[in-house]
Amino acid sequence: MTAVLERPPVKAAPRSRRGGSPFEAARRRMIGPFLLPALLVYALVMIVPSVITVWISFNEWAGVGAMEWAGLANYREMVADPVFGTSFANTMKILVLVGAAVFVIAFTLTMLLQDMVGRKFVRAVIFFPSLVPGLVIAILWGFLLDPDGLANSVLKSLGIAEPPLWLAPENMFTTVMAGMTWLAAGTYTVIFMAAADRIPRYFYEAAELDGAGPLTRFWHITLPLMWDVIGVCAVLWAIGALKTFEFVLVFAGATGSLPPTGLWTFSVYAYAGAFPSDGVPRYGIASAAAVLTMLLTVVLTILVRRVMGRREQATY
Amino acid sequence: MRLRIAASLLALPLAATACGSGGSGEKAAELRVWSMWSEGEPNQKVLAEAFKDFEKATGVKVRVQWKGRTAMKSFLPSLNTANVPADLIEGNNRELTRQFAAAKGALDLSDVYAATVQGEQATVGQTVGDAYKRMATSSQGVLAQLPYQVSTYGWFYNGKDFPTTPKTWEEFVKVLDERKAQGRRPLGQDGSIPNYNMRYLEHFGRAIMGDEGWHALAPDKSGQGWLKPEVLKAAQMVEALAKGGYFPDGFNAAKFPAMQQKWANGESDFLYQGTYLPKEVAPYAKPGLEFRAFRFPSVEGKAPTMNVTTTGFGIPVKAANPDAAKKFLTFFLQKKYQDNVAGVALEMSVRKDVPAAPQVADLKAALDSGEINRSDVLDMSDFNTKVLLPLSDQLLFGKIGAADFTKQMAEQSAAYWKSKG
Repeated sequence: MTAVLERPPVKAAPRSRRGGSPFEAARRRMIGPFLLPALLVYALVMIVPSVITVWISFNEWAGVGAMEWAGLANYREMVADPVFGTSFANTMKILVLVGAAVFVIAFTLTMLLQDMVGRKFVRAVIFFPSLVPGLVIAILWGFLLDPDGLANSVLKSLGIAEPPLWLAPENMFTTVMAGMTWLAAGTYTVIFMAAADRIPRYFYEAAELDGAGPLTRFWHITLPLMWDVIGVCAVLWAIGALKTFEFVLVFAGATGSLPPTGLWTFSVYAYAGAFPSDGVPRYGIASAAAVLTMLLTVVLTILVRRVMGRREQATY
Repeated sequence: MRLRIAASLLALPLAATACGSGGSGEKAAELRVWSMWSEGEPNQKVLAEAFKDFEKATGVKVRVQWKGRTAMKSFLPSLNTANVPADLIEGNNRELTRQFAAAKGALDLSDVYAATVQGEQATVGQTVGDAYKRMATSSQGVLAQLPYQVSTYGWFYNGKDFPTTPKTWEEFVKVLDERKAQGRRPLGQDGSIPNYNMRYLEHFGRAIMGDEGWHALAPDKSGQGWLKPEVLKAAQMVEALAKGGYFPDGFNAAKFPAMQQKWANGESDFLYQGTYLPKEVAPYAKPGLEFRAFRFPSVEGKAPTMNVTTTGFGIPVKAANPDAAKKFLTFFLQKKYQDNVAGVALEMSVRKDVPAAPQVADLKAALDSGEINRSDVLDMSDFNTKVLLPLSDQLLFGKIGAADFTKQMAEQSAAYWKSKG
């Protein structure tokens, strides 16, 4: 009955080593042709452009005409450029500060909403910002946060004589970070809540009988059982944060002009190289910034997976 | 079997490109145009009419794509291919000389400049004039653009409020102080656009140290040029503006075009903006606003030269039908269409015999006298974005003083040029 299982592994015949029956072999032969279209598309739209980007980053190139070999000059210039330092700091602020805020809000809401009546409705409301494109939000906020805009009118009517100038240069980046937090918090809350919903109720009932409060229940049941989801979310956030672009561009830039350098991120830096508001495009340095972003993404992803993986995943 | 599948899959994208690129060379009687205007803009209407008349007059079929302001940006990558998608590409002088011609994509238009304007005696070159012809020439000497329209900056105001205009900066400040005494914030300013914030410093600088002196500052690798007393003087004048309480509250915390809207609404008196301003604010300007503009007043007896941008067409070297393209250029420069540039699009034509709309008549007179600077020659856009604009913002917002500004400019310029190796 279990002949197949009991059969000792045969090492002699090459055909068997490649695995089993003629059917299996035929199936294996077909993997190639079936895989090929997807592989081709992937190579064409992902791998080839990425390799070309790396190549361009070692050259001076205006986007047209001949490329001029520059070696590491683009990278050297970038590292020495103070604006790149600002872009780096801003990207890290978004990654860490906004990331922390988003996750704290998402955890808190998950904890609060877990047993709430009508949470499906609340979940929909929380998720709503994610449905509206960031671009639209960025444009609308410009009006909302104008010195005479709705936000300050409300604050003034509440008796605050001098409401903050949200879009003043010294407050602008904080406003951008707040906007990004608001946009992302809903998405992660919904993902966390979906993960929390998979956890069987009887764990909580048992814990309650043992006298565990909501915090203890969250710490000992919810958190360990949704750890894998949190790990994926952390990676997603890291990738998204490093690529922050359109929100800053639209929020702070105007038609045909770049945002002030104090607000730049990696991606804005790359964009400014390739599409200066009034000058010759520099694809070399733009590509160098893109390559660096790509490397950082890989490093961060590995790092996050490492950190998140260290905690044993609970299966109970 | 497997090989055959792979081969046919590989062939697919090749077949697709083959279909896409072919076909354009054959049709000689067709003119393909990429315009920088969008459907519905006044300028688009002027051009559309000219294209229609051109079709009737020559039998050449014109196919226009109204690409909007990014026409050149989208067009440039096609120069890497064997076929370009247009025979005429529209853009401003900097795009056509610094980008298009610099990429060796531009056909030299010397023969167009030598030809006569359709139905007229004068040549294209005579009609355009030397100043704009110079601006149409790339640093490699390629005559890359045929301009038809110019824009510059001016101090816009409501003609009903001010019967006379100040000629010197001191007179202007007196007017500003009078308005301030009446409880007004007389100067509109969209502080969210760094380029707009820098214009005061630039014009003071041009007047005080001359164009040569101003142009020498940015490329100075040591950065020491910024420590000259002339720069300090210009910066002090900006500081006086910043600290004088002339700008509306929160002018640096509102998104463009909030402040220009307020100006059009009569909440401030003067706004230094491009000659396209009346068209931009017309939809929300307060009724009865009589747009007028004067040139930047003189500082220490010298008026700063004018910053000018021209709009016009270039022809790609690889154009399928360059002859029709050239023909259209001599056709469009006719007085009839240039009158429309002023009358319909409310812009200034390159032609001296086309009177400007009354809104910008003063500026046109100044331009025709030829005091145009060479701000287009040097490409300092990266330096401006990274060094000059952030610091000029701080100066105009009153965050730093003039002395601090010049000191930081010197330091940061040196650091900038060092990073360039």
